[in-house]
Formats: sequence, structure tokens, C-alpha cells
Amino acid sequence: MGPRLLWLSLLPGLALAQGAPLPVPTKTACTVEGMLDEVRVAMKTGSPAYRKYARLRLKEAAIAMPPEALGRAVSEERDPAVLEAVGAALATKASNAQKPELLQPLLSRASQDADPGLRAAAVRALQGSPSVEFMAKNGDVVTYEQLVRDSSPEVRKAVVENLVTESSGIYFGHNPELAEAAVKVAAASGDPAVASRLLGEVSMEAASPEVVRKLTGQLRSEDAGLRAAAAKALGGVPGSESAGARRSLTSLYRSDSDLAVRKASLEGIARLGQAQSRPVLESLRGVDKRLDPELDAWLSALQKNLQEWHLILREKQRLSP
Amino acid sequence: MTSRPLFKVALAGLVLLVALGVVWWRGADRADDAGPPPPVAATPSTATASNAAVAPPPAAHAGPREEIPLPGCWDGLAALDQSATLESLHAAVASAIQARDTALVAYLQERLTELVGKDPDRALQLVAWAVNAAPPEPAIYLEALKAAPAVRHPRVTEKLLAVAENKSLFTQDRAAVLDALETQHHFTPETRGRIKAIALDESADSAAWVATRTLGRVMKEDYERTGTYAPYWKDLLDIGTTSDDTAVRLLALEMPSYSNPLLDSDSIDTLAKVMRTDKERDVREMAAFRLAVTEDPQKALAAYRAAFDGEHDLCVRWAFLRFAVRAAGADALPLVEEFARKDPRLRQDYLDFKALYASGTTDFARIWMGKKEHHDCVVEEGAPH
Repeated sequence: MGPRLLWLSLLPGLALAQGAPLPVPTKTACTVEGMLDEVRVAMKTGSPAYRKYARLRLKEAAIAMPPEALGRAVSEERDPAVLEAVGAALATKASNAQKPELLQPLLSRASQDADPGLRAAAVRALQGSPSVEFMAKNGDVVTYEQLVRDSSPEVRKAVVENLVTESSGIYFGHNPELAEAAVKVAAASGDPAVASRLLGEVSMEAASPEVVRKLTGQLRSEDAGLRAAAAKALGGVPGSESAGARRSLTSLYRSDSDLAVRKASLEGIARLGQAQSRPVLESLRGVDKRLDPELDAWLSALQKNLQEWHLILREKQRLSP
Repeated sequence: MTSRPLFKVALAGLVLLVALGVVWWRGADRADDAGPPPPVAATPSTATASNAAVAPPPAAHAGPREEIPLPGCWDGLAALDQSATLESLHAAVASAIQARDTALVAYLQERLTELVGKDPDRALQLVAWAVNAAPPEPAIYLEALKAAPAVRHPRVTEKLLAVAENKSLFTQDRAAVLDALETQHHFTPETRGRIKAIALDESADSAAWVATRTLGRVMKEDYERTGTYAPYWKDLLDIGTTSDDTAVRLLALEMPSYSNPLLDSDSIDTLAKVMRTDKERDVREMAAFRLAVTEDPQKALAAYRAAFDGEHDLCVRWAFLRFAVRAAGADALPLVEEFARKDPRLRQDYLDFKALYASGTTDFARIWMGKKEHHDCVVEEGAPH
């Protein structure tokens, strides 16, 4: 290497700028195989931006793709990230075409694959589709109640994420079937963490009287975590159910000695009545001295007479997280 | 309101903004970088929503290497991704724009964000490209920059501010740069002062509007991170009461909607005056909206009562009524009854709210979901009013 070249090699940026032309992608026809290959490459070696692009592009293209090709890919794929991407494309196609039967290969992977990572990926692929409704339309051959009993925590976590996302992201909390699914799946799970998260985060705004009854029944669960989650969830039931829910929660606060359950009962009571719940809360002072500061925080937050629950909760958390 | 059924399933927060008649954004002249995110009218299932937007799929024929009509695909993208540099992504932007491939543009933008990361020099490179490029390229570089942590490096912030203040540039270019400042976590008093000056500069046009929005968005960020809103709100309230541009005044008063701080008692006095005196109906309605979330709901009710008789526009009166309910819930019903007595056109609203509270519901977000609309008061984008 001569002195001049050595000098240039110390400035790689300059050398590059003057050397090889910048690679610019060129447009090409889209094929199913080409797009699947792209997803595989992206999931294996791509940047986060490229992985997102490949997933989205496949979803977008799925609408025009033959369902058999996607179904085959879902049945055969061995890489969890790719299965999730291809499965999500199939779920998008199923919901776009209103053909719940297209989900069958994905539901089979979710319930039957030997590899827990692939089962979890198949469950995650359902996220963002109306999966509760579509499972029912497939004859409830595979249900979340069944999937949540999976031996793998990763699968159970995926079930919870799907229900929470479906309730808030697709139905904005206003769906009675999701409220029912959350209560049933929580009861079926046998996993207190799963049950707590489901009851804590899936909206009960549209819960039917029957679902409210089941939820109230969970206040007697042996697991304190589940009792606390049910107490918190009861705070969100429809106005027509609020009188009964308030009685249940008041009684729970007096009788259940678990601190977390009592704390959740206070939240449920505060939510049901908002500013009007102050006398009920006052009546509970002294039942458990450890929780009087918590009770005071609720009373202070409610004193402001805010009318939206999210604002009340924010103020309360400022006073006492 | 024709889209009422859609609102039933929309996010509560957005519903409040939309249905309470305060979501408003600029007309076509500034729509590209217009206000807060427009309302999302969601449907019960993604399927229904998608069906409306996408033509039925063509008859599917399974076969090898069948070409998919949409969207476009690219050779060499994986290689570009692997060896990406700012320069190589910059070179690819033109092809993506030419092909009108918005997904590819979004990818390049996000990849640029990843490459910039925390590096202020790379961030400044994006600013330089943005300043020298023709639309739509500047927006791509500035959006990429906005999402990178380097945008909060003092050198980068200062450069963006300097460009935004440069009166020799087109106002839309200054506006785009101001938009890139909205992901700051905090503004110093000096920075707030400089942005406020742009917001109040009559000649700044769309830059004044975006400056106002940026102040409001950083207020939201700072409030959610630290609980600080007062200094920003003071500036916004000044803008909302002194700007000659109605759209800027309106936006200044709208911005707290996105973080809902509990406004202090002094603000109630100022807003009450705006509600009684601003010459624009929209601005009076916005002031009424703002009064619904304060530290002192009773004082807000008094302000609505004081403004009612002097207000002759039915839509603004309807705004006083519903925001009084939002401010004080069932406690507002006596005042609402008084309004209905004075103006019988509001009687059905009183009856509706009374029945809704009697049903046991307390959260206003849910009350509002059940409320029927009886007035044709929502101003559609670009519509004369």
C-alpha cells in the first residue's frame, strides 16, 4: 500500500463517498414467496424498522393473497417471529374478508404445537383481530379458556395480552363478550397473576348482570390476588349494577383481612360512586388502621369533585400511588 | 351529528373532545401539519372498518409466483438495511417518494431515527437536509429527527429554534421545524419565550399556529413527566387572549385538552372573561370547554351561569350546559334546569342528563356515551360557520 492509499484509508468516509455507489433498492413485483422470504430475512437479521416494515407489508398484501398460501405458511413455519408475522397477516385477512374459518390453521398451531414458543407466537398473531368472536364462530373448538391453561407461561401471557388489547383496542371497552371472556378466562386460568391482570385491565363497562354475578363470586376466591382483582373490576361495572357491587365491596372491606383486597375494595367503591362515595368511605374509617391513610387519599381526591374516573384516579395516585 | 353511532365506540377521551364539539383543526391550507390527532372513529371490529376501505379481494388463484397487485416490493432492501448509513437512506428516499410508497417512506424514516439515535451531529445532518430539500422530503427528515433522542441535545434544539425564528424562510418550512420541537421533555423559560414570540407574530402565519401547538404538546409531556403545566399554560392563555388570529387563539385554549391539568382559580377568571367577550363563537365554546376541568368546579358553574344570559348563540349555550355537567356532574343539574327554563330548546338535554344520572352511572365519560344529540352544532373541517 503506497503512502497516498494509506492516507486515504485513514478517512474511510471520504473513500466511501468517492468509491462504491450507494445501493438504492429497485422496485420489483410482489409474490407470496418473495414476501415470505423477505419476512424471514427481516425477522432474522433486520433492524427493528425493517422488521416492522416487513410485517406491515405482509399484512397489507395479505388482503390480496390467496388464503391457501398463507394458511400453508402458518402450518409449516418453524420460527416463532416469522409465524407471528405470517399468522397476523392471516388474521388480518380473515377479519377483512369476514371469514373466521381462515383462522383454523393458526388456532391449530396455538393449541397443538409441541413447541411452547410456537404456540405463544400463534396466540400473539391473533392480537388485533376480533379473536373472541371468531373463535366462537369456529365452534369454540379452540377457546381462550382452553389456551390459558397451557403449561407455558409465555402462552398464558399471550392470552392475557390478546384479551386486554382486544377489549381496549378493538372495542374500546364497550363489549359485553370481552367482559364475559375476561371473567371466564380468569376463573379458568388457575394462575393468579393472569387472573389479576385480566380482571384489572379488561373493561367491565358493558358486563351483563350474569357476568357481574360471576365476578362477585370471585370475591370469595381462595387466592387473595384474585379477590383483589375482582374487587377492582367490580368498580367498573355498569351503573345499573353499582348498588349491588357497592354493597359487596363494603362488606368485603369489613370482612376480608388481606391488605391488598381491602385496598382494591376502596378503589372499587370510589369508582362506583365517585364523589358520592365519600360517606361510604368515611363509614369504613377505623376498620383497618393501616389503610386509613389510603382512605384519606381517596377522600382528598374525591373532594375535588372531578367527574371522570381517569382524572380521579390520577389525582389519587399523586397523593398516594 | 351524523357520525354519532361511531362515537359510541370511540375512546372515551377522544369522545369527550370530539363529541363535546371541540375537536377542530385547520382547513386544507394547513391540514398537513394540522392540530392534535384527528378523532378516531373506531368500529366494533377491525373487519368492518377494513371492509369499508378496501375493495373486495380479486379472485384468488393459488399458483406459483403469482403476482400480488399491491403493494410494491423492493429488491435490495435487506442489503440496504444491513449496511444502512445516513447517506444510503437519504439516497433511497427519492425512489420511495417517486414510487409513492408510503410504507417504504415510513421504513426509511424509522431507520434514519435508529441511525441518528443520540448523536447530535447526525441529527444536525437531518436538519441540514430538511432545510435544503423540497417537499415532501423535509417532513421525512424532521419526523425522523423528532423521534430520535438526539433531538433533545442542546445543540440540536438551538439549531431548530434558530431555523424556526428565521423570517427569511417560508413560513411552512419554519412550521415544519417547530413541529420537530414537540418531542422535547421540557422547555426552559427562554425557549418558551422564543416560541411564544413566534406564536404571537402576525406575519408568521402557519408557523404561529404550529408554535402554539408545540408549546401545548411540550406542556403535556412535561406535565405527564413532572406535573408541571403552569408556566406553559400561562403562555398559552396569553396567546389565547391576545393573538389576532382566531385559529391561534382557539388552539392555545384547546391544548390543555390533551393532558387535562386541573386549572387554577385565576385561570377560571380569565377564561370566564373570554367566554363572555370573545367575538368568535368557536373561541367562546373552547373557553367553556376549558372550564370543565379545574380545581374549583363550583366557581366554573358560577362562570357558566354568569355568561348564559348574554350569550345568544344556541350552540354556545349548549356548550355551557354540557360543560357544566362535565365540570360538576349531578351537582350541575339544578343549573342545567335553570338553563332549560330560560331556553326551552335545551329542555330535552336537561331531561336526558337527569335520567342518565338517575341510572346510577357517575363517570362523565360513560354519561356522555349515553347522551343523545339534539343540536346541529359540530363544525366539520373546512365548513363555513
